[in-house]
Amino acid sequence: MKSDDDQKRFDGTMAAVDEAMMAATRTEIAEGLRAVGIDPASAASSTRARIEAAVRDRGKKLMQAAAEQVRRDREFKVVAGGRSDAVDSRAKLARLLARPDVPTTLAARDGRSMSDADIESLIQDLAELGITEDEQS
Amino acid sequence: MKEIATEDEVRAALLALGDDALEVLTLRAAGYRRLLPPEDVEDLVGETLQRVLDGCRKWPKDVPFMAFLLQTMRSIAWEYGKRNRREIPDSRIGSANDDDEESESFIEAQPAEGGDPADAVALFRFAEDVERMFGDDDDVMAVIIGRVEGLSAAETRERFEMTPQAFAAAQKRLWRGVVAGKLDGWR
Repeated sequence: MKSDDDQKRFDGTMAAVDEAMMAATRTEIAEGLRAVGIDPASAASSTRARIEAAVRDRGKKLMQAAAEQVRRDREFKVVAGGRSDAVDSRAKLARLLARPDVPTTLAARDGRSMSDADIESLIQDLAELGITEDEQS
Repeated sequence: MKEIATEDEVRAALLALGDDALEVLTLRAAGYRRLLPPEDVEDLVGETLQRVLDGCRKWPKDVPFMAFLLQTMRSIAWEYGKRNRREIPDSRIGSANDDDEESESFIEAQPAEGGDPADAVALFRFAEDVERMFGDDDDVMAVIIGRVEGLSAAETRERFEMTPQAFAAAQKRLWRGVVAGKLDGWR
């Protein structure tokens, strides 16, 4: 609480000085700059240069962040898409193998230990036997 | 609900600052020289620009842009002051509420080692120093008290029954007194 009060007092007092400064004439500001050893003629240009550098820096950071995001999105798409497809295929195979018309030899293959390629191949084999989800719907 | 400026608007406002505003900003930053260590003063402008540009500090559009920048600078200066104070053992700083004699002799007696205690204390003494300097000037004190209490200029004038001219004159005395170098923070 004490710290909040200190900050409020500092902020308010400094704000009063800041506002008095903003109400000062340009000549007075120039006098103030000279009083602290700054050449009024170069003050604006050096601060403008800092602002422009900060804006450029921010722009670069945004560009880098955007590029990084695109890269991450691409990676995510590839990985997530592949995983999702594989999961879908395994689920589809499980549904097909659970059907009563599936030959016993095929039904015994539960698909859990099979590679993604094997899963796809088995779904193809079942399709050739006329066992597809399409015919069910 | 206050309308907050977009990042593009902040960038445009910064790039549109005229020479007069840039001179005020330069002088404002320089004013912190005796309140903060040199490296913090050097950082102050950069940090202010960074925070307003990346949206850490949001600009409510009903606040004049320069006022927003100076407010951001004050807030960062306070953070720096607090950090510096934490980094220096209390025994080396003394209290901001110590009386003058004690604190001055303390600062003279302590060499800078791991941070200058004078730098760490100066920021916390600023309000006190200003009040001491203008304690006899009711109008200047009204300007300060009004601001500490969060009043607008109009509200301050009303509360303290000041004419706009008296208020402006008090601001001028405050400004001249500070810039005249009577106050540590601006020498």
